[in-house]
Amino acid sequence: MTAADTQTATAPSRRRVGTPEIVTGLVFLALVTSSQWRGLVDGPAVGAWFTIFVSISIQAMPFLVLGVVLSGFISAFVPPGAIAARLPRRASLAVPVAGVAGVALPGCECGSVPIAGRLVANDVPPAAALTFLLAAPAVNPIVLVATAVAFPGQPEVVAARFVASLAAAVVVGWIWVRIGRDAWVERAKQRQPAEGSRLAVFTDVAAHDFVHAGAYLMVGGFTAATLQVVVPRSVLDTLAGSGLTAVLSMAVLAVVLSICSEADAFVAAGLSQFSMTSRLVFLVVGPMVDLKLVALQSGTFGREFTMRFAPLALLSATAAAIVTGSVLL
Amino acid sequence: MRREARGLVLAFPAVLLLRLSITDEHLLYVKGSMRPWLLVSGVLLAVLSLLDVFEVSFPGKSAGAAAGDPDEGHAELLAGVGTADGPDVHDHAHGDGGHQHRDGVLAWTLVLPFVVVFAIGPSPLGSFLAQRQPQTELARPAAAKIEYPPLPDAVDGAVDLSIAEFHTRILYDGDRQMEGVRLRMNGFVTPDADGPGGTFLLTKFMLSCCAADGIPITVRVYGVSPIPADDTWLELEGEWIPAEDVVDDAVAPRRVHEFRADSFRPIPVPADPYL
Repeated sequence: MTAADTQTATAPSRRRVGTPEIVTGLVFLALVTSSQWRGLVDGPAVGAWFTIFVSISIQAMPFLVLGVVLSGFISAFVPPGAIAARLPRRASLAVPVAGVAGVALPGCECGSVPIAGRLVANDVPPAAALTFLLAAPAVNPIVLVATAVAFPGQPEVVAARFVASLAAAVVVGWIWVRIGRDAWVERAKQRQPAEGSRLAVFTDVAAHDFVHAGAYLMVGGFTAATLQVVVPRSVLDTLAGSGLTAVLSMAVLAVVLSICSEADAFVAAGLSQFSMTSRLVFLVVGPMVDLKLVALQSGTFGREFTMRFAPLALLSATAAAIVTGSVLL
Repeated sequence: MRREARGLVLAFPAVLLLRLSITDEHLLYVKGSMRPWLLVSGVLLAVLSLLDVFEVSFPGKSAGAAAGDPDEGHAELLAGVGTADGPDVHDHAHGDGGHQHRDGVLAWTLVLPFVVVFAIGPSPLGSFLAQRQPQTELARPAAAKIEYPPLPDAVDGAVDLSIAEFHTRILYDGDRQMEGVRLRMNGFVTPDADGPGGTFLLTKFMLSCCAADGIPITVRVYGVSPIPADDTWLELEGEWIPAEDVVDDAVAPRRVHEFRADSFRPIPVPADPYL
């Protein structure tokens, strides 16, 4: 990889042997010689790390593919401005509409990131696109049904998850209307699709968005796998005790575990030593802020954006879950 | 990133998804129900990859305006996508060298899962992770018990049961049908740090969606000696060591379920190692 770096840095143009050739060569070298070095990366911790890393990547890919297919579709078939024109003109009204529209995207959070990026490129007000980004993974029917299955006989959990997630997403949108700057989402804005036949635009955008978001997904999976292997989950048991500690540790757990929103309800159901409100925090925070998602978002919107957006989303998700939980649960 | 480079990057996850979905190997990483989606996304990525690697242009494009295609801008697209060298075609049109470079290199992280699976191979979640998670389960009060369907018929003198069903029957079966019945279960060996000595925890991970959310389900096993090495897969026959039902909800303790084995044999790792 270092060889590839130097190559790119020193000879950026018109080379015959570039990063692709070098990386492919290294991969084949790794495959051919694997019997020689496989022993070096043996051991239970490393094996667990590999399995978790691959499983996070693999599990997210169908959703990411769905997301980039929709994003390619928007670029190819929806004229710029058409979606914005259907939204209420005032951004503060467009935000709740976008949040409710999240119900229509059946998927988990990885798919909604490229779509939101494409909406921003397509002149949808960033605040509305971001509300969609936050709401879609948590309020769509598949996730709500999964939640109902994980908490049988407790429909109030499903209701609380829906209400708190939508509220948090809309609040973030409204705050973004006031404080957000276009400069922070410049990276998504600049990504205007090339012109050409619709099929050409579609494939180009889908391939581009996949490579882009996928690379950051790897970074997120890498980090999440490392934390899972390094920090024993039983540490949590000691934190389950008091109210605020429990809430905060569930928020942290949601961020670290980076579990897909369709599966997180089953994990939350298993964490029965925690209060219902703190588990609701887990369900509301997870689809909005987690390690792989933060990485994905910064790949799509840029680091300037993520530094502001992730803490804002984390705060409002936690607050919305605490309030909703104390009323409904 | 050049178009052919992008196509090459896409090829790695495409081939990986195809291999995992065609073989049973996906079961090491995700639930079996994900299989069709892995296959579909693998095929889609493979198509995108081939289009990029061979720089396929779409009908009417290469001939450009000369062919009388009403769409304009094909030539620009080709020029932009086909020959731009380092810089990403759409991003950073205003030039931000650092970003471009970093993203170009970062894109190659997409080869990592491919390398792990193809060069290093499978290692299902095992005792290392199981030991790092709580092993106990809340006992349910008698009031929470329900009527359970009868146990399956015994095969070769024992009833086949998964660790998961063993747990749920202990927690919810009001008739305690397992009492005194010879059972057969499989799982791998995890050391029993809190045990009385001479025991181990027969373990399987339960997945909700993928291996990252796996939760170990364990049973304390008596009667196996010497205890096989950690992570050895075993098939056990024996009986549940019944525990008293809890009466009062308020004092429901957390506890480990127990099993006395009278025979055991090592088995290969199952194709689907999880619950």
